[in-house]
Amino acid sequence: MKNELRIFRARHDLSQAQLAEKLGVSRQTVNAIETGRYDPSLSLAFKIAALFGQKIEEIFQDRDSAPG
Amino acid sequence: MDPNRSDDPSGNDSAQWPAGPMLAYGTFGTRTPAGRRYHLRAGLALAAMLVFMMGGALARHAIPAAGAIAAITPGVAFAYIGWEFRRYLQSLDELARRIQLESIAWTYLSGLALGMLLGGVGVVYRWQLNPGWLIVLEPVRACWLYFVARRYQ
Repeated sequence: MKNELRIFRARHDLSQAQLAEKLGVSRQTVNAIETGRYDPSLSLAFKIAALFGQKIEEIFQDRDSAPG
Repeated sequence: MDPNRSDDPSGNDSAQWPAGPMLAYGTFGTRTPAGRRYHLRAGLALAAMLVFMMGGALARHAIPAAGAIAAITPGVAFAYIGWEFRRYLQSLDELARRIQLESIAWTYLSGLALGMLLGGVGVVYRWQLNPGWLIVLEPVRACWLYFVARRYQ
């Protein structure tokens, strides 16, 4: 799965640590999601989408079906 | 804001897991209240275990029940530590918990292979190994924790 988390985080002017605090996870978790090393649970993905006011598929896309 | 900006003043954006506590204790350290609580309670349980075992061993000739207390103390202490570790796991976020559980799974598989190896040696050479040596699985788990965590950084 690929994601646009880094881009949305930058748009909202949040550091990894600030985003991690808002989500209630560690900075390592945010970093692992951004770098594609870890796919978050569905509940965390929904939480991220809600935080940025986006639909979940606007942040997370399946690597095979995502355009580009 | 630059999305590639590092949050770490050192410029390190790889979000390293804390290698020291992982290798020494098999945890992510004492930076969280749950981590501090687990370390404190596990340490106290180990200290109490040593006191009861030494006291029981010394007093077992004078007080027969002391020997029985010394014998069951390690099991009770490690059952308590296991209970506290479960609470520690519940306090972790989903990735940290996943890393811990993966390391436990790998330790189980390693321990099974090691146990079968030692069991084979024991049968052939009539070598009786004290089950207390199972404690070596803790450093094995710590090593697995370190290696599993590296996959996510």
